[in-house]
Parts: sequence; C-alpha cells; structure tokens
Amino acid sequence: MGHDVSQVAQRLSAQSVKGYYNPYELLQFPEKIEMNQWFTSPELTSLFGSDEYEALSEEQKQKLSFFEAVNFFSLNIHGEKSLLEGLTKRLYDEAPSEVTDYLHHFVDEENKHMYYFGTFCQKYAGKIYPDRKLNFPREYATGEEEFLFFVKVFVFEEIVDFYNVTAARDERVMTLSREINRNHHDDEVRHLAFGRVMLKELFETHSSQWTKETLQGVRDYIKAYYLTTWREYYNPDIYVDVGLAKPYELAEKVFESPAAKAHRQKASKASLQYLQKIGILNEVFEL
Amino acid sequence: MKTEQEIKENLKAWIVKKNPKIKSEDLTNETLLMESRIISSLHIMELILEIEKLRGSKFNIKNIKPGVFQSVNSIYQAFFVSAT
Repeated sequence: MGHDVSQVAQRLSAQSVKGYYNPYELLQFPEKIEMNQWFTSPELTSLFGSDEYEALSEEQKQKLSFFEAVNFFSLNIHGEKSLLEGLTKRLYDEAPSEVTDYLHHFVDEENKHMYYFGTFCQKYAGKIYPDRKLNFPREYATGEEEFLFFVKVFVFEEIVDFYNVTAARDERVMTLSREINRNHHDDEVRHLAFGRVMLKELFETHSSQWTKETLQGVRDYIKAYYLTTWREYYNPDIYVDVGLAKPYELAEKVFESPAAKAHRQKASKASLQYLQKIGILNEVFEL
Repeated sequence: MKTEQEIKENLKAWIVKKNPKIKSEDLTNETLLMESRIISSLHIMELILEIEKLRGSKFNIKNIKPGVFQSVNSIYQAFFVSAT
C-alpha cells in the first residue's frame, strides 16, 4: 500500500484522537419529542417537488419529515453494519500499521453513529425500517472485491454526507436531529478523506491488471450501486406510516420524476466528478 | 389478488425493464436469472419491492432461502405460494 494512504491515515488518526468524545455525554435524548416540527429539511424529503407533496398539510409535511429522518437513520444503520463487517475484517490484515491504527478509529466512530441513529429510531418511532438488500457470492478478478468494497463505502458515505450537511445547517430542523447530522458529518469528513485516498490507491494498483470486460463490469456496478443506494431513499414504508395511498406506486413515481432526478444529480455531483477525475469512471452518468 | 399468470407476466415485464439487454420473447418462466446475469445482487432490493407490491404485503428477507431468485417460477413459488 502506498505512502499516501499511510500518511493520510496517520494524519486522520491524530485528528480522531484529538476529537474523541463520549457518545453518552455528547447528545441527550429526551423521553418524548413534539411531532409538529421538522426532523429533516423539507427539500430532503423524498416527495419534495411533487404534486403529492404540495397536497399535504403542514402537519403532514412535518410527519413526513419525521419518517424520512427515520428512514435516513435506518439506512445509515444498515450501511454502517456492512461497513463495520468489512472494516473489522481488514484489521491487522495486510495493511500498514498506520492504516490499522486508523481503522480502529473508523470502527469506533461508526459504532457511535449507529448508537445515535438507533436510539433516535427506537425511542421515537419504535422501530428501524428493515433492510431489503441481499448480497450473493460471486467470483471477482484480483483486487476487484477489495476495490468494490471501498467503492460502496465511498458512494454510500458521499450521499449521506450531502444529507448530513444540509440538515445540520438548517435552522428549521429540530435540534437533536441537527446535532446527530452534525456529529455524523464531523466524523465523516475524515472517513471520506480516507475513502478517497483508498479508492485511488486500489484503482491504481489493480485496474491495470483487469481485462477490458472487468473494468466495464466495475463501471456498470458503480452506476447500479448508485441507483440502488438512491432507490432506498424512496421507501414505501415511509408513505405507509404517513398514511398515503398506494405507497409502492408513489415511491416508483417520485423516484422517476424530473425533480427527484435533479436532486440526485446535485447530491451526487461531487462524488461522480471525483470518480471521473481519477479515471474510475469514464463518464458522469445520469441518476 | 392477481392470477398466477398475471403475477408472472408482471415479474417478466419488470425484469425486461431493468435489463434492456434481454428481449421479452427470450424470457420464459424457467430462464435462469442470476446464473445468466440477467439480474444481479444489486437488483434484489428493487425486485423485493416489486414482489411486495404484487403480494400486497411485506416479508422478512432473513427468511429468504438461497435459490429463490433463480427464475420467475421459483420467485412465484417462494413468495406467492409458499409461506415466507
């Protein structure tokens, strides 16, 4: 593994040590919360920009924002569970000691985030929305599986960070939700920096040995993974809880709408451009 | 509730929509979907949503056994005939 990755890992470890916090002291979860407030930015709710959204009362829009926040936090829990499995598998593996040191912080911080997301969902919604993703074993070219693991981390975290930053800055959003988003973003800045340098390193190491078909397969996978990741933001379970009719049809309709496509493109712009800049993608595709 | 034929036709239409490389006339109820790479792991989440919509109810993915996504027939058997 290259000098760049070790140097970045060392720098990030120092920052993690400096910013270390006790999750049980940092945020407090009141017994009850008022429902007539915003739990995420209205613009981040999946129905925003649709006729169905405009037809909702203010009270229904805020209820929607609550279940959208529960969905977002649930997605984070499922994503971070997979991430933790992958990260712990890589502890004390072939990576330099600086990388292993940083993986300890990465694991620690992701675990704290899950505690925040899970506590919010369980305490105020009484549930976590279930995961619908399944992964089936397949064969990989040399280095492809390792590369795709970090691609998934990268795509997932880059999208999440767009939501974290937007909600954390939004003064309309209730304080606890803003704080969860802010805390997550503060740690994710380091995870994103690590993810970017890892991706570049792994691509440079392995892609020259891949066949043209493998490289195209990797590019197709990245596009499909972006779309699958985004599709989970349009969860029919949210619409059931808000009391909206035909939840599955509604999810499909809003996902395909021009407003939703424009939102996804905006939120994914920086990550897609990065993947193109370092040669992983040869085009910025539409989402 | 849709008939068996309607459900299978819906599933095939969904598969063709998700993978334009396959023509509807080449897709039968027995076509091997995963093995032929017509659908991949990344399609499963959306396929589960489609199945839930057709069934009118959710199911626990932890109860899904390997091989249920092998073909349209096996999907029908697992999610519309057998208890899951």
